[in-house]
Amino acid sequence: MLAEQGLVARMAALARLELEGGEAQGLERDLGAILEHVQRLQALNLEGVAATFWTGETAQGMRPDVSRPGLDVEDALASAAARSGRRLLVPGLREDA
Amino acid sequence: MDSLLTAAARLARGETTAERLVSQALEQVEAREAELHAFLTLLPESAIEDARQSDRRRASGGARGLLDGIPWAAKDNLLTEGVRTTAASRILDEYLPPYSATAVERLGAQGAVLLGKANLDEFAMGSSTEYSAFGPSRNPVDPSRVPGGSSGGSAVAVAAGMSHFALGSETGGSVRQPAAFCGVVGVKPSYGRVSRYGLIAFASSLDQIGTLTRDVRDAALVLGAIAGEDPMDQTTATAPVADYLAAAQAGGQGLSFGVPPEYLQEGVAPAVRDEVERAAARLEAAGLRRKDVTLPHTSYALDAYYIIAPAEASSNLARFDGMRYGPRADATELIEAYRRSRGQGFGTEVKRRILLGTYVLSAGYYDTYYLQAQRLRTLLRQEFLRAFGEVDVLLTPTTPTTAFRFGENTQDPLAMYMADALTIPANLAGLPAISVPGRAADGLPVGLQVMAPPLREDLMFRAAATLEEVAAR
Repeated sequence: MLAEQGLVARMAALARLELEGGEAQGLERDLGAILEHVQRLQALNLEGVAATFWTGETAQGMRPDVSRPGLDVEDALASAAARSGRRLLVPGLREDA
Repeated sequence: MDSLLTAAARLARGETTAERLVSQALEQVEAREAELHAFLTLLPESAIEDARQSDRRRASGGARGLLDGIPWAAKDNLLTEGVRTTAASRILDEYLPPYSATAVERLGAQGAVLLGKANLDEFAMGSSTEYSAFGPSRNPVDPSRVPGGSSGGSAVAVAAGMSHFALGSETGGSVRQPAAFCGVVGVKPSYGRVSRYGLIAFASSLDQIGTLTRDVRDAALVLGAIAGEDPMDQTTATAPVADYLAAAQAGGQGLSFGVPPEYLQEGVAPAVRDEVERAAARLEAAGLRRKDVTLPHTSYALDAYYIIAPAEASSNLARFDGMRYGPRADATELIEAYRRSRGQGFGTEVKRRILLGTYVLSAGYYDTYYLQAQRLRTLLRQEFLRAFGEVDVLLTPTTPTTAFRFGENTQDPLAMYMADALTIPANLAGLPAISVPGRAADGLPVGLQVMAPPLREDLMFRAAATLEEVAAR
C-alpha cells in the first residue's frame, strides 16, 4: 500500500515529476487516505462484469484517410521553449539519468 | 443583467446595441472583478470591436441569429487562437494557442462576443477554484465562500452579471457544482454531444464542455449552438441535435420522474434534502408523475471516479513537459528537464492526481483498481438505464451542501472530493444533467439536478424548465 515508504518517490520518478522538500510527505499521507477510501470497491464482486472504458452512443467510425491541411510548423513551434529551425531543441538524453 | 434571450430580443427590436451590451458587461467587470476574480484574461478592446461589427451586420440586415452581439466568457481551458490560455496553471502561463476549440469557433461564427477567459482550478482539478495557480474566485452571493469549481470563474461571471453566459467544462461536476453554489443554471451534456476539440484534456472518457447561464431557456439556446458532430473529435455523436429551446419552451407536463433515495442519504444537508422534496412535490402539482426508482451502487461512484479520472489525467498531462509549451526549467539533461519543469509548473492537487493515476495504472495494481473501477462504471450505467425504463428523468440534489468557506476543505482532499459525490455518476454513465437553482437555504443557493437518458437533452430541458418555474415559488 501507499503507506509503504518511498512509494510516492517511485511514482514521482515514473511520472517524471520533481517534488519539493516537504511535498512528498504530505502527498504520501493524502494518497494513503484516498486509496484507503477507494478500497471499498474491492468488496464488490464484479466477476464477469464487462468494463466500460467509454460511454459514447453513436460515435463516428474512422474518418476517410485523406490528407488535409494541418498545423503550420511556425504556429506549432511558437510556444516552444527552444527551437532550431523547424525543430524543437531539447537537452541531451543521458542513459544513466 | 438581462437573460440572454431577453437581451437578444432587445437587440432585435433595436432597443439596445451589441456595443452597449458589451460596455455594460465591462462596467460590471470593472465594478466587481477586484473582489470576485472571475477572469484570468480580459479582452475589452477586441470585445468592443467585435460588438461594433455585430452592430454593423445587424444594421445591414445580416444578423447571424440570437447569439449575435451577446457577450460571453470562456473557461480558460478552452483554446482561443492567439488569446492567452493557461488552464490556471503556471506550466501554461502565457501560452498562446494556434487554434480555437470547436465550441469557441461555433459561438464566434454565430456572432457571440468573447469578453475574456474565466478562472478555474488548475487543469479543472478541483471544486472551489482554490487550486487555481492565479488565486481563487469568490462567490458573488457571499464572497467569504467559494464559488465552486472547477468552472468557478465562469459561474461567477454569469451570477455577478458580468457576462450573459459562459462555457465551462465537466469531468465530475465542474459545471453543475459551481452553478449550484452560485445560483445559476449549469448543463453537462451527454458524452459526445459537444466536441472536445480544443478543450485541454483532463480525463478524456469523462470530459465534456457545458454551459452556465441565467436560466434554463438560455442554456437550451447555448447548448444547441455548440452541440453536434465534429470531424475534429471522433467521439462526437452522430445523432441529430434536437431543438432544445423548443423543448424548454414546451415544459415538462406529462413527464415522469424519480427521486432515487441514494441521493438523499447521509452527508446530504437536511436543508438540501428538504428542498429536493419540496421541488418534487411541486413538480407533481405541475403535472409530472413521480415513481419510485433506486440506484443501489451510487455510493461507489466517487471511488470509481477517483481511480478513473486520475488514471486518464496522468496520461493526458504527460504532454506538459516544458518542451512544446510553457516555461522550461534549467537542466542540462532531458529527463531532468522534464522532472523540474513539471515539478515547478504543476500545483499540489495536479501532482496528487498524477501520482494517484500513475499508481493505479502501474504493474500489479491495474486490475485491482483501474479495471475494478471500470466494471463498477458498467453497473452504474446499467442501473441508470434500468431507471430510465421506469421514468423519463431523475431529480436529485446537485451537491450535498451549499457553498463552503475558503480553506474549509483544502487540508482534506477527500472532503473536497465529496462536493462532487452527486454529480460524478452522470459523468461516469455519460448522461446529460442540469443544475437549476432551488430556493435558497440560509441565504445560500441550493442546486436541483435533473438527469436524463443519454442524448435525451430534450427531456432534461423539458423537466428543468418546469422545475425552474415551480422551484422559485
